Amino acid sequence: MEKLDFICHVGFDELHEIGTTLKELISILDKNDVKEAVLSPIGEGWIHKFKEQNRNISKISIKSNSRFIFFCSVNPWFEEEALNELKICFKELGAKGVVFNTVRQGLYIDSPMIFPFIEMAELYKKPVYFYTGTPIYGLPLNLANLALKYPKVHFILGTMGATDYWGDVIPCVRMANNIYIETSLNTNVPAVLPGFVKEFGADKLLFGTNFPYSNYRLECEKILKCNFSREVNKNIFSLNAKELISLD
Amino acid sequence: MIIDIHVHFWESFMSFKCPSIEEVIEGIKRTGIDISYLNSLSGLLKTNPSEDNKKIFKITSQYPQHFQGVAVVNPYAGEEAVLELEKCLKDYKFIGLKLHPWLQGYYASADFLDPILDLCRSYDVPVMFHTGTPPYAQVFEVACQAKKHPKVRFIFCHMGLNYQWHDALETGKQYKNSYFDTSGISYPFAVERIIEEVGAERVMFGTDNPFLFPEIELLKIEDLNLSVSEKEHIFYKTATLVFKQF
Repeated sequence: MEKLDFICHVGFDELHEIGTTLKELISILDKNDVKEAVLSPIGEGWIHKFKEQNRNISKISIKSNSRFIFFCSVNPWFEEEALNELKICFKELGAKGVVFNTVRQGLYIDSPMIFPFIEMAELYKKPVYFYTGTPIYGLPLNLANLALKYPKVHFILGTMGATDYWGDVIPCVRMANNIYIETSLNTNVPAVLPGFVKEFGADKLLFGTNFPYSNYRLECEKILKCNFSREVNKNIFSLNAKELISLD
Repeated sequence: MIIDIHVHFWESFMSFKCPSIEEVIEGIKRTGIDISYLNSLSGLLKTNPSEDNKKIFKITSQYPQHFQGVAVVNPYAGEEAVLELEKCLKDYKFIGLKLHPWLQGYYASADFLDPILDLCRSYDVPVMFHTGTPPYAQVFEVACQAKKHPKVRFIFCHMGLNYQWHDALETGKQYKNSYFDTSGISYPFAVERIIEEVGAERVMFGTDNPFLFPEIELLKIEDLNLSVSEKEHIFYKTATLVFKQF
C-alpha cells in the first residue's frame, strides 16, 4: 500500500543522541514503500537553528522531485525574526506547513506568543503540526483550546499524545473538529484508533513515523494490526495527508 | 522461551473493553509467548481489589501453562492493603506486586508505601511500578524507593517512556536493585541504549498486553541490534531471576 509519512527528519537530535542522514532516510523510505514524506527540522532546528535547517530541507525538497514535502519550524521566542522566517518559508521556500515542538521551545501550545504564527498559517492556508504528549508544554487539550480560537486553521495533534496523553486524543477532536491526529510514537493504538474511527471516521488520521525516533516497520504494523478496511487504511496511510497538504 | 512480565486483565477500565481471557491467550500464542505475568488493571483502581486479585488467581489456576499471577493493591487502603498483599503472596502464590502511582494517585516516592514494600522484601518478590508519567510516576520518584529499600527489586515498567528514558538510564547505573521492562516505550533507540549501558541482565520483555499489541512489542525487540545472549536475558533469563521462577 502506498504510504505518505507525515513526519520524518534528517539530521541529529543532541538531546536524545539520535539522528540520520538523507541517504539513510531515502534507503529506508524505498524499502518501506513510502512514496512521499513530510520532512521537517530536528533537534536544534526547533530551537535556534531553524533558519539553517529550513533552508536545507527546502533545498532537499526541491531536488527530490516532490518526494519530500517541506514543513518548516520556527521558535516563537524569536518573535519578529521567527515570524518573518515563517513568512519567507511559506512565500519563498515552498513550506507546505509548520511544525512546533513547544516542549523543546519552552512555551504552552496555546500561549498568546504563538498567535501571530497561527495567524500567518491561516493567511497562507497552511496546516500547523504540534508535538504533543509531554507535560506541561505539550498537552493535547491546550492544542484543542488553540484550535477553537482558530477554526479555519488545520491543526495536527502530533504523536497522538505520546505516550500517556492518549486519553485526551478523542476529547480534543470532540472539542475542535479542525484537529487531525498523527499516529507516530504512540503504542496505545488499541485504546485510541478503533474508537476514534468508530466515532469520527478515518478522515482525520495521518500515518507518521517521526523517523529516526521510531522505525517504519513498527509504525506501519501497529496501524495494520487494527484490521481496518482497505479503504480506511488508504485514508490513514496517504489520502488524508495528500488532501490536507494540497489545501492551498 | 519468552516470558512477558507485563500483562493485564480487567473488568472495566474507562471505556476500554478488555478482550476475553481466551482472546488474550490467542494473542499470547500468536506472538509465541510462553508465560505471561498477569495483573488486574481494574483492581489497581479500587480501594479493595480483593475480587480482582481473586479473578487473577482463578485465571492462573485455570491456565497455569500460560499465566503466573501478580498482585495489585491500593496503598491508600493502609493495613487492608498489606493484608490483601499477604493473601496474594501467601495463599495465591503470586510472584510479584504491581503499583501504578499515576492511576492510583500518589507520589511514587511516598513513605506510606513502606509497609507494602517491606512485605515484598519479606516474601522476596519484586515490585513493578508504572513509570514515565508525571507528576506521580516519575522514574526518579521510584529511584528514591530503590535507594530507601535496597533489598527490594524494583521494576521500572516502560523504562520511563519516551521522555524519562534518560532518567531510567541514570537510575539503572546507580541502583543495582533497579530493573526495567520494555513495554510501551516507543523509542527503540532508547531501549537499545539502556540494554547497552545498564545490561540485558537488568531488562525484561513486557508487552502491556492486551492494552498494547503484543506482536508490535515483540517486533520492537526483535528489530534491535542485540546479541543472542542479550536476547536470552531479555526474553526469559532476567525475569526468571528477578521473579525467582527457577
